[in-house]
Amino acid sequence: MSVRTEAVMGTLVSIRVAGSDAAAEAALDRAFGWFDEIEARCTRFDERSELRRLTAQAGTAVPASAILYEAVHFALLVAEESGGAFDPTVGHRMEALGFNREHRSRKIVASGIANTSGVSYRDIELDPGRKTIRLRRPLVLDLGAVAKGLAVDAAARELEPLRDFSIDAGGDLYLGGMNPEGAPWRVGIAHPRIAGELIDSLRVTNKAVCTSGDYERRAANGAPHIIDPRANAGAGMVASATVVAPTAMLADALATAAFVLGPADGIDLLQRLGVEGLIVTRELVRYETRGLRHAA
Amino acid sequence: MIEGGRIASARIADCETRYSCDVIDKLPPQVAERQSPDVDTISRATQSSDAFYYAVVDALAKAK
Repeated sequence: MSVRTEAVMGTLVSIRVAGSDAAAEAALDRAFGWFDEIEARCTRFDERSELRRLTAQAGTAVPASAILYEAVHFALLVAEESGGAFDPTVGHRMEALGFNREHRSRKIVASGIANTSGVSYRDIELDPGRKTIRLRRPLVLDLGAVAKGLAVDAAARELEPLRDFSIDAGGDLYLGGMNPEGAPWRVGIAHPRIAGELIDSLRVTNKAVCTSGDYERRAANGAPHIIDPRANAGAGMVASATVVAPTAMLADALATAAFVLGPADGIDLLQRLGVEGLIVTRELVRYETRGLRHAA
Repeated sequence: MIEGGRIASARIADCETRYSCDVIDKLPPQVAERQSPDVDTISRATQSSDAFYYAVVDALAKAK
C-alpha cells in the first residue's frame, strides 16, 4: 500500500494504491498530473487560466480545450437537469460573499465584472461541432465543483490498472476495487454538526462519494459557500448532502444541486437520474434514496 | 513535518483566518490519520480552512 498526499485545487488530495512498485509510482504521478492540468485550465482565481481568458471575451465564440469544453458542457447538463439549482454562473455571488481569495497567493481576486444580476447558465452557448463556448453576456463562471470531480475521475482512470485504490480530494472520494481487507470500501459520512463524528457509513466499490455541506468554508457573514442560484441567498434547509455515483464529477455536482433543492426535491432528482444519496437537514432529519444501502 | 517531500504530520504555524483557531486545530491530525477504526475513508464537505491550506502549501514548498 502506497499513499501520496499533495496540496492542489485549494485542498489536500490523498491517493492510496495497492503496491509501491515503479508502475504504482508512475500511475500516481499521472493521476496527480491531472489535478494540476485541470486546475490550470478551470480555476477562476488566475487570470491566465483558460477559464478566465474565456470570461474576458464575452460575446465571442471562443475555441475551447477538450477539458474546458467538457467541464462547461457537463455543468450545463446538470444545470438543466436540476432546474438551475446547480448553476456554474454563480461566480459573481461567490465573490460578493467573500469567496474570492486565491489559495496560493492569498490575493483577493476580483473579476472586474460589475453588474451580473439576472445572469444564469442559459447565458452560455456551446457549439458542439466547432467546440467553442460563447458567453452571451459578461459573467463569472465557477467550475470549482465540476473541475475537482473531473480531476478525480481522470485520476481514477489512470489508477484503474492497479484495480484497488482510493482517492480523497478534500472529502470528495472515488473508491476503486476493494479495500486492503478485500471487501468493498467502508466510507464514513461526516456528521455535519459534530466534528470528528460520522453520521452514517456505506460500503462501495468503483464509485464516487461526494458531500456538500454547510459546515466548511463559511463566508465572513456566516452564509454557507453553496449558493442557491435561484434565490440569491444561501441554501436554507440542508446541513449535508451526499451522493454516490459512477463518477465524481456527477456526484459532486449533484451533491451541490441536492443541497440547494432541499430534501424532497433533492431525493427526487437523485432517483430520477439513477444515483444514490443521503440528505441530512439542519434538524438532523435524514432522507435517502431507495437503493442507498445497496450502492456497493 | 515533511518526509521525502510528503507530509508526515502538520501543525498550524500561524492562524490567519476568519475561522476560529479551535476549528483549524482540529484539522491537522486528519492529514496524517483520517481513518476512524470503523471506516476506510470519510466523505465530507470540502476540508479546506484556508489558513491550514496555506500552511500545508508553505510546508511543501520548504521541503522542495
